[in-house]
Amino acid sequence: LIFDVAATVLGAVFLALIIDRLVSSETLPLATMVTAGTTLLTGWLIQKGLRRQGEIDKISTDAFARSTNRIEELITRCLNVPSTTLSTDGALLQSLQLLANEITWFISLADRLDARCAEHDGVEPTYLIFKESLAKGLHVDVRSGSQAAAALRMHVFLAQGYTCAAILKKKVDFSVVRRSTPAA
Amino acid sequence: MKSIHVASQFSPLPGPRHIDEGPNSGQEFREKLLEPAFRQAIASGEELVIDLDGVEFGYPPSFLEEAFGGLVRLPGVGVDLVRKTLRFKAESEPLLLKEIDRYIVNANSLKPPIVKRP
Repeated sequence: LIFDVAATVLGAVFLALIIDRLVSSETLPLATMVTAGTTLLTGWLIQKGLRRQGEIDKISTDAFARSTNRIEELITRCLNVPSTTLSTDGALLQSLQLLANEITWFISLADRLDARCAEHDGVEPTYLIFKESLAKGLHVDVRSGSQAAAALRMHVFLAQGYTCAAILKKKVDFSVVRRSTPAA
Repeated sequence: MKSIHVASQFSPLPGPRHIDEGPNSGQEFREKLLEPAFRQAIASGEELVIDLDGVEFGYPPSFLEEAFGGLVRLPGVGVDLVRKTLRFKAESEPLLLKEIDRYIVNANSLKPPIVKRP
């Protein structure tokens, strides 16, 4: 806020100096200079508003990007196990649980920001197929899991893309997220 | 309302599908805990709550399929009776609810792997 005020004051001083110079030069009428000054000020305010909205939009699109990254990391962690790993392996089950909860967050965030699309409907069922393909037997089936992972990645990627596009089309009401998130 | 807390009443480390594959299997859970409680709940007209929270790591899909899909496959049970009687609690992993429902609905179409028995 301090920097904003300082920049505004400085800008106003410079503007006043320029106007003063031009008025005294008697080459331009005062009305033209006032119009030009107002136009400049309006332009500056508009670009500042747009830039601020751009930064705000980035918060939600970044949140989706981070969530997508975590989903990708967890898929890779689930698949990056030796084929002799038991399906009851604690580390594997923990990764699957984290992945499930990350997917739940990914979808609920889209819901809360009113940016859900048809692609989101495919994410949870595809995750369930992935989990089952990977760990339905006594040992993990990495080949089958990898095939299911490709479908899961595609759904997440498309859902992220559509969601970000939807967010950029409209203003985000962050209070919705706070209201619908249970307190820890 | 009756309830089963898997972590404290059965095991915090749910195991594989069948008893002969390892400890704390889905089959063992169904035979020792789930089925008797399920029968009691039906007899008394109550719901049976399955509390899935509190396990150490998570649930293997084969455990869940054998426990709940296996319950559906019992003679005289079926999908409708299981869905009507069982309620689930899974705050630590909400997606488990959809996973289990999938196993219940598809219990007769999903083919569990055949394991050679001694």
